[in-house]
Parts: sequence; C-alpha cells; structure tokens
Amino acid sequence: MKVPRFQMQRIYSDGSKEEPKIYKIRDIQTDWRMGRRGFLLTSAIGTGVLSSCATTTIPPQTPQNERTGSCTEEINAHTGIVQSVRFSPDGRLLASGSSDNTIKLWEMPAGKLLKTLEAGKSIINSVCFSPDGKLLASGFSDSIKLWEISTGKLITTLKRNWSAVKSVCFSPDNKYIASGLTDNTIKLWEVPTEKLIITDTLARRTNFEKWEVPPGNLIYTLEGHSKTVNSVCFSPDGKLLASGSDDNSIKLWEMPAGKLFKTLKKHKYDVYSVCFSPDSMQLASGSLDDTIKLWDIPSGKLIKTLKGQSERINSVCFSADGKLIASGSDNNIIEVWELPTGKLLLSLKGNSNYNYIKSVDFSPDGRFLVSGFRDYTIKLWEMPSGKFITCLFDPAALERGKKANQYTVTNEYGQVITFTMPCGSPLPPGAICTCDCVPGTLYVAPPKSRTSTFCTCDKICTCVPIK
Amino acid sequence: METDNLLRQIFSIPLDENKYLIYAPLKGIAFIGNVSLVNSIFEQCRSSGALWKTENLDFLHQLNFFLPEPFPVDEYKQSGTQYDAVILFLTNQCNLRCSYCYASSGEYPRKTMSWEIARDAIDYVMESVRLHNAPVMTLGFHGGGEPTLNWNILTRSVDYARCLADKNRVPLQVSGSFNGYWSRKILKYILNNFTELSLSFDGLPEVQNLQRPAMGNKESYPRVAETLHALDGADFPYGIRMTITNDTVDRLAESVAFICDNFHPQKIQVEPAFAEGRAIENHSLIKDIRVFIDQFMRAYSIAEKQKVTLFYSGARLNALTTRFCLAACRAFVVTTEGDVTTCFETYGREHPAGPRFFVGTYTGNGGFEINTEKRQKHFSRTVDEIPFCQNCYCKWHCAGDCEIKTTAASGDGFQPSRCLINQELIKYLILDKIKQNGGLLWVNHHQ
Repeated sequence: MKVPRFQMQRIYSDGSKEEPKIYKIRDIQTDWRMGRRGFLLTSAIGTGVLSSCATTTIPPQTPQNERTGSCTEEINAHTGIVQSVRFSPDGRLLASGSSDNTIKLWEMPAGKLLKTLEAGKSIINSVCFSPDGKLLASGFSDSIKLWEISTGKLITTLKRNWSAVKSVCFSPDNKYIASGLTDNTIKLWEVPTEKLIITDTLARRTNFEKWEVPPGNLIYTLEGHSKTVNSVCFSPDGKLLASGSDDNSIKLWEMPAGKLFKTLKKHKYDVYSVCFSPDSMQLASGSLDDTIKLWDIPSGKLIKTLKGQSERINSVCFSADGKLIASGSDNNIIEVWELPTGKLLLSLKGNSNYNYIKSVDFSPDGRFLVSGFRDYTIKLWEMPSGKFITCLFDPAALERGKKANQYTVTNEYGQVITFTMPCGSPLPPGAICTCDCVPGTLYVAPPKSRTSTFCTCDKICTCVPIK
Repeated sequence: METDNLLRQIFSIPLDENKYLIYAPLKGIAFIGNVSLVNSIFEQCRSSGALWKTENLDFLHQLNFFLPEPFPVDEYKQSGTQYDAVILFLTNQCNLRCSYCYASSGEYPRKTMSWEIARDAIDYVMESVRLHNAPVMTLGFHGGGEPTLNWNILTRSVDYARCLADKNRVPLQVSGSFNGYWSRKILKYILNNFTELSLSFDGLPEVQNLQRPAMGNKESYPRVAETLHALDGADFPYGIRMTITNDTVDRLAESVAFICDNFHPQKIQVEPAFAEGRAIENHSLIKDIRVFIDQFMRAYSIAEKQKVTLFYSGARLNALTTRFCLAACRAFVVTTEGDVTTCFETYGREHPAGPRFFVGTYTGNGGFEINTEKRQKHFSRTVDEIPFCQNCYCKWHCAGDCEIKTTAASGDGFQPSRCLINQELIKYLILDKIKQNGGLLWVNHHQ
C-alpha cells in the first residue's frame, strides 16, 4: 500500500487559478459505495460562501398510494420504534408506546397529539387501556406502569424482578392485569381501585390520593412456558387468558384460578402475538413461522392456517365485529383477512428499507386500522377499503431545524383528519391550514378561495393562494 | 518550527475533481474547499506573522485555524508502565464454535488457568496499584475461550480481588469479554458481581446462528438474546462486539438495526474478521472492503438515530491519541499458562505471534519474571514512532492501529492491512459531521 501523504501542501492543477471557495454539502447521498470521483458528483453541491440553505422551491410531495402508506420522510410520531399501538375502548384515543421511552396519547381519528408520557430510560414493549378507559397499562423492559388517562399522571409502578415485560393486558372486569415476561412466566396483578383516600392532614390542608394501590398487588405467577412469553390476552368473557411464547406454544389458562387449561402446539417457531375474537370463540395467533393460526375455543382445535406474503407475524388482531383479522409483519406488510373464509382481502405496505410492523389494531367502530412501524411512524388506514389516510405526527419528533406544516380535511364520515406535510407543500382544495412551522406556534388561517393553496414557512406560517 | 508544526496538523484529502476535504484533527475543524483554497491555506501557514485576509475566509481566523496546537502527549512516557488492571485468560475452551474465531477455540487440548496463577496475578497488580496510588483497580477476563467455562477460578478471582480491594480501600471494577451463552446461574452471578461487560454478538438471529453456533451446530441466538434482555432489564452497562465476515458483510447495517431495536447496549463495536485461526480456513475475511465501508456508514446512521455509539477501532473520530492500545501500559495480561503478554490476541503458546508479545512468565514461586527490555519495546510503540503514519490524517485517530494486525509475522516492517478502511471511514465520518452541522463546516466542540 502506498504511504499516505495527506499533509497540507501546495497542489499544482488547473483549479489553482480560481478564487478560493468553500463548498457546501446540501444533501449527501448515503451511497458510501461510490468512489471518490463519484462521491460528490450526485450530491447537490452549491458553490457559495457561508450561504444559508434557504430554498424557495416547493419540494415534491410524496404521492400517497392507497395500498402503500408512504408518508413524507421525517413525518414521525416518535423518535424510536413504535412497539405498540392500541385504541381506547371508545375509539377516541390511541396510545402508542415506543423505544424512545415515551407513550403518546392521540385524539382519534384526527390524529392530534394530546399528551406525551415520559417513561424514564426503559423501552416500552406494550400498552393497553383498561376496559373503562380510565387507565393505561404499559409494559417496560423492567416494570409495568399504570397511568391515569385524564391527567397523564403515573399512578403506580409494578415491579417484582428484573425480567422484561413483553405484553400487558387488562381483564374485561377491570380487576386484573396480566403480563408476559422474558423469564418465561405470566404474572397477574391487581388493578388499583378508584377511591378518594385522605393521605394526610396538615395545617388545615387535606391531601387526597385518587387511586388506592393495594400493597403486594401481585396475585400470582403462572409458570409453564419454557421461553419468553411474548403476548398475553384475556378472552372478552373473562374466562380464559391466552399466552404466546418463544417455546412455539400457546397456553390457555382458566381465569381467575390461574389453572392451565390447554396447550396449543402447532406453530413451528416462536409465537409473537395472540388475540381472542370478540365472541371469545376463537383465538388468532401470529408466529415467526410466517403464519396466522385460528383456533377454536374452548376445544383448542386448529381451524385454519393463514399464510400470505408476510414473514414473521409480529401482531394480530380481530376487528370489533369479528369479520376481519389484521396482521403486521417483519417484511413491512399488513394483511387483512376475511373471516370465516380466510380470504386475503388487503395487503398494505409501509415505506421500504429496513422497515417492519410491530403492532396493529382496529378501531372499535371498525372504520380504521392503525399500525406502528420500525421507522418511527404510525399509519392510519381506512377500513375496509385499505386506503391510506395519514401518518400521525409529533413536531417534537422532527429533527432539529426541520419544519413541517399541517392541515385538516373533513372526510366522508364527517370526521376531521389531520395531515402533515413538509413546509411549502401544496394543499388540496378545501384544506384548512393549521401550520405549525415553528414548533409551539400555531396559526390558523382559512383559505382565501377554494382553489389550491400552499403554506410558506418563514417565522410565521401563513396560507396564500397559488397564482 | 511553528510553521512546520502547523503544516503537520492540517491535511487536504482529495474528494473529487478540484474538491478537497481540509481537516485539522487537533482543532477538530473540517470543511471542503477547492484547490485554490488549499493553496491559500498552505501559503497562510507558511507566512510567518503576516495575516492574510480574504473576506470569505475570516471565519478561519475567528476559529484560530492558523494557530498550531500542541501535539497529543503520551501520558505514559513519563510514568512508564503502571499496572492498574489485571486481565486473566481463564481457559482455551468455549461452548461456541465461531466461524472466525482467532483462537480456534475448543480445538486444542483443554487448558485452564490455575488458582495460583490467578491469585498471584491479582496480588501483583494490587501491589502496583498501592505503589502508584492508582484510583481504581480493574479485574478483567478475556482470552481465546469463554471465561465462564473456568467458573471456579472466575468466581474465586472475583471474591479474592474484592477482598483485597476492600482491605486496601481501592474501588474495584470487574469486567470481561464473554459470549453470553450462559445459564441462569451464571447470568445472576454476573449481574450481581460485575460492573460492566463486553458481549460478542453478531446481530440478526440468522447471522448470529451462522457465525456463532453453539457446539453441535446448535443455535446460539435464543440464549444469548435472553442474556441481553436480562442485562437490559437490569439496566446493566454493556457493550456489544460484532465481527463481520465476508458471508454477512452485506447485512451489517441490518444487524446493527436489529440490535438497536431489540437491545440496549451502551455501544457497539464493529470489527472485520481478521486472518487468524478459523477465519483463515473458513474464508471469513471480507473480500470487498467497500461493502464494509458502505454498510458501516449505514449502520452508523442507524445507531446514531437511536443514540447508540457505534465504532470501529481503527476509525475513532473522537479520539486523539498516540496509542492504539494500553495493553503494555496499564493492563497486566496473563495467559492460561501464566505468560505475561502485551497483546490481548495472543491467547497462548499456540499463537504464532505469542513469543513476540510475551514479555514475562509465572515463576511458580508466587511471582512473575518480566523481561523489562522487551516490555519497553512494546511500550514505546506510539504513532510518532511509525514513519508510515506521519502524513496521514488518521494518525491520531487510529494511532497506527493494532500492533499484531499491522506487523509482519517476523515482527519487522509495517503492514497496514486495515489502512484503507481506516482512512475511508474517518473521511466519511468527517463528511457526515459536516452534513449534520449545516453542510458547510464542522467544528468538534469536544476538543
């Protein structure tokens, strides 16, 4: 190899007679495979000296394909992988848990961010609303936390050992929380009750606590699986608890006794997700073996195996009417199946390149399907058409210095949906600009005409008509 | 003198036609300029005293670009070797059969470190710690095998070192390099008795299982993943070391993404397989290093988004050092058979380079005999002593790279097999920094 000679020295070449220039890298293409010659040729270099990066051109808008959920880059809900998404029982809220250590609550279907719950340094693996919609349980890499929805207040932390919590689920009667753990067990916890408790009275002031947390509220531990328990789910009638594990099996436990009822062993590899049908008569399971299996309850008999293009099924869920099953997979595909035929109805894709779906959930009214992705996005789809609607957006998840704008559109159901685009994007007719170019600054300006308008981003975002 | 110093601190790296990356590592300043700018900077460096001002380049003067910085000083030159870490190679046995294992672990007749060697090595270093008032003592486990397979000696060493450290009121750090293929019992012990760890793990399950199978060609991923989850659950600080082979280099970024998504290491070290042991017979060496560079930069971007430190030992952009390795300065490294070595890779007497790096041996009488002259020779290896490196912009980042990887089998001559990787990665990392900082200029505020 040649001896390196990079020390500063005079260079004799044709370029030596020009004026000295500093080059700016506007956009470095991350194709590191290019050689030195090609490296900068395809990146947008502007010659300029300490020039700013302002541009007056409107960047091209990514077309939104009904069957491909392509959000414009950086329109993210989180700054980490979206591990779990769950609608509230009334469908008005969505909770999302992420590896960015936050849980976010979104108003649905508008997609407006309501609250961010900071969870410390732990990854959130699972979120679940209580049946009465008042509490949110979140499973972390080291504990379970319970939050009060109305205030966003942390009520209690359940922690008994160092095992990571992979899945949490409330019982239908609101009394228990089941958790699946990496120590191969399932733990059942008592849910705090809502009760005004006087905690102390000092100097004419009485302090109240709204939630009574029972001491030692671990009820019992279910042992039987030989590997990590990835998913737990109560049947809607409350009689059974299903658990899916890395030991390739599903176990059904009688509730609340905690007695093992049945073991289902047809999957070839790890079971990542289990979900009961609304009538408690069927169980769906998703697995590393790329299949979804439907089981008859309580016989445990395998009814059907569904196999599409998906690889490694991370999440399965039933629609509220029990007529559809959705699955999210590692190869970036959401598949929606019709029941009882098992016919594949829809195949929905996210953005490509190292993307996968960790969690899917139907809205209680069956009109929407939500999906949490590895690329930090949460995508909303219309059901049963499969039309892609929008990505949920949190301005705090934008990279520093980036800007975005938002507008709302009223859909055919009369629901107001919020869309987010990079600053300067054109808006469709009828859209109302709710720009938030500078995070924290909101300016609402109705369009001056029914023709297209676009948002500019300066210090204050305004909507002006295109001439 | 000052002019010469300044010229030795600023580098111009060709990028493309008429474009150069101008980089001053000691100042931590980098930008891209044309030939004319390079020549102007050269003239300014050579002109003593006279300030040459161009309206467009005032900012360079504001940054004190033309004031020379003192060169990095080797802090050990004055003090000499002062041990505060004892590293024990406990065994040559392993419960994995990694395809690229430099020690071909498990293929040689079983050797384990005796209690006497371990104990006396700990005593030796504690004595040094007391003599030099070192603020902390480190006990570490390494070598060409899985240290937990010599469990008895491992636990006794930890207990003994802790006891000595308590008696002498010196804080003790306990660490090591392991494969993570552990039972519950081992895991619990490690969590309760160690302060940090390095775990060798290659990422995606199929990559881990392919490159690091357990004995009997079983899959190692499930158990190692369980270990990692347990460490995460306990918020235990650990780093991951990934080895990249020709078979899986095109999945490096995917593996890093997988690690970042599923686990919580503090850092990930990525190293290409080196030509030793099983790596030779299994053709593990990467054939096209451009693929490695491309994948590394993708992985770097992924890890950075997830706030995980990803690094490769030959391209440490934030390091300014004259030494690649501290094995000859602070770490008393003892092999299974009781040889004292200045290289972590010379696992035992079977290693062809062993005799070159062994500088002492256990005498059996409770002590070690050290060849101080031989040790001094290794100790003196700093980047300033390597002529090949003098005009390279990487010199203070890779510091001449790993000695065993860059010297010929005979010990003579410098054979920089990783130089191109080091240069390319440092260059791309700098360009990435410029891009992240607005696209015009990078100033490293850590320096």
